[in-house]
Amino acid sequence: MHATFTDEFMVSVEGLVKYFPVQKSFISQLISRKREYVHAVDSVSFQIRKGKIHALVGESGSGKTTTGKVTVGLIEPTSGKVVIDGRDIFKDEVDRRELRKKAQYIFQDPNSSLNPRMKVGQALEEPLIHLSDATKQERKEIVMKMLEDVNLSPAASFYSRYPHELSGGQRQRVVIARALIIQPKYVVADEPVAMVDASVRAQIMDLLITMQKRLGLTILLITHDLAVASYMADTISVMYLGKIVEQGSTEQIFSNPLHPYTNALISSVPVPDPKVKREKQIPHGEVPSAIRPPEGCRFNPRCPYRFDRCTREVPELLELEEGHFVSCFLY
Amino acid sequence: METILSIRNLSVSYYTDEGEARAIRNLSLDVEKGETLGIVGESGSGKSTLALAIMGLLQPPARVKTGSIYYKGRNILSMQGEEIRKLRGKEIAMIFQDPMTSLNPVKKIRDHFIEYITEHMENIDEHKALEIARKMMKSVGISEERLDDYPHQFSGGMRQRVMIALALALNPNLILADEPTTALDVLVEAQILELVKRLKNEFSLTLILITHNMGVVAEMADRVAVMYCGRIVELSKTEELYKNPKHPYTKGLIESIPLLYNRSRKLVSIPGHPPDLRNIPSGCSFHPRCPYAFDKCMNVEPELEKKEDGRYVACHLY
Repeated sequence: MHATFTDEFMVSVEGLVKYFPVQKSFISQLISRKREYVHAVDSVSFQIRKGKIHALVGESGSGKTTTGKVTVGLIEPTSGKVVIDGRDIFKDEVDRRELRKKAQYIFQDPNSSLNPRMKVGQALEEPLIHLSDATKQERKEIVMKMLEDVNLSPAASFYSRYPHELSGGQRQRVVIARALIIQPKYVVADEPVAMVDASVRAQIMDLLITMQKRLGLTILLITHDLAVASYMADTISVMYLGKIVEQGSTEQIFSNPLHPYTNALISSVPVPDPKVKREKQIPHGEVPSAIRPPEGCRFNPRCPYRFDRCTREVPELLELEEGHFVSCFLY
Repeated sequence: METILSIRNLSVSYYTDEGEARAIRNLSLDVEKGETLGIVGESGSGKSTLALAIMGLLQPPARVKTGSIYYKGRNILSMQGEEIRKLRGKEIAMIFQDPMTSLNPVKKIRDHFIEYITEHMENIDEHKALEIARKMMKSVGISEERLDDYPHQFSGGMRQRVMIALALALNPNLILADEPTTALDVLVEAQILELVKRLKNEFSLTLILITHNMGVVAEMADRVAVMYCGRIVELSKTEELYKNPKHPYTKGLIESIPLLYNRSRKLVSIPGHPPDLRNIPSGCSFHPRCPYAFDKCMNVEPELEKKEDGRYVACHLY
């Protein structure tokens, strides 16, 4: 997926690699000079069309959050390129302030991403102070309107509340409002409903979709929950141990999953309907360490269809049907 | 059907500086021997408090205000020190949500087993205890050599297997599993759920499964109790509950989950948010969020009653 960059894409990630050095104790440093690295993200490429939602799904340790953080410039990549709205964000001349205006991040836990001593109004005003030229009066108007937009109504009453006075769902609305208040073009939503009560989850997902449509936002949705991805996303990349194993439209991924890992993921989601009886294909074992990922295909030690080649060569991400990519020697 | 656990009019409150948080309000429930009873609810619904009450583990600021919990005819809530310690582990055991914080990081797995077994069983030496430990590790699919490892040497799923092995070591009758797979990834979750299903049959257990995940309950439970705001609002056989949910809250919960096998379904979300337990709405505590609420709902709290079709629901609509 190395198409040349065109106007239709808001985000283009190419060959992204991020290794984190492993912290060693003093003694083990003396014994061995060899540095070890966590291969968090290993040559990941994807593109997101303007105004669309792309989901990164995978289990913990698959590299989805690292990828998301790199795409807004919160983490520097080891190598690879990220182009947002036509500009390479890791080129020197890129103004950080301009990037922040364009690309925002919604963090997973609304309890720890809001300052407990800051009123809702102040929290929302903060990005405007730093990233816009709005006057004090204008800022207040923008904040009040945004509060109404995310259904924190009446806005005046929420404006002067502290985070602890809000429910979990309301806090998540504030976090979303704060990310959107400077009208970014691209937003990373990192597990936006993972910490929200079940009965409020659909409200938050619908709010994100509504705001995305209204503002023409491009969203990178990071989630471990396939059902959330299926409800919100236009396109999906399935990640395993730092690599994309399958990529396609939401329809392609769920109606015609190709990679054995995607199949396993889909079949192991507990179905909230006792009538639906399925044969589960649960791979044995657990995700291996990303410090020394398996040779060949990273999924091979757990794959029921593994053959010789899988343990020796790394499969490439190949396009099997239009827009549907898979990295597996079975195809 | 033999009733193994019977909860009668249980009320539990947490007494905090900001006032009394009523976590469980006048709750009654029977658990039948051999069944898997799912208890679903959101955070703050009182489901974990209920588990702690059954284990006799409630501590200040929590206090039992009224009610009793009978296990095989004996009231757990009136038991004292030694008596309740004998019940725990041998009769009722618990599997907690987070296997990392429930295991002691400076103790080998073998020592966890030895301590747990010798504490609760009389006349047993370390040798015998280790024999049990080996057997249990085998039945949860871990090789016995790993008894010599420390908790941090295990992955999340393996640690939960160890917790399950420990919980079953004294051959209890009733297992309380509080969000046993919430901290785990989906593939590992599926493995653990399969394991729990298998062990439940192997050891003829009664299982109370507490979770917020409607999918997990649908796959595991024979009956489901839906909790909202410290009360059971609906109780029924799993299939009936999902096919025809009666209480508007149950209905809302089921209709608000995105489904992989029916992606075109429009989600209906429940408006509002769960109430503050220090300030519970009058009448039916769900009425401010209920699309069907009428006058009576605001003033009179509905009781969980058996309806003509044999299902239990606490709602004035029925």
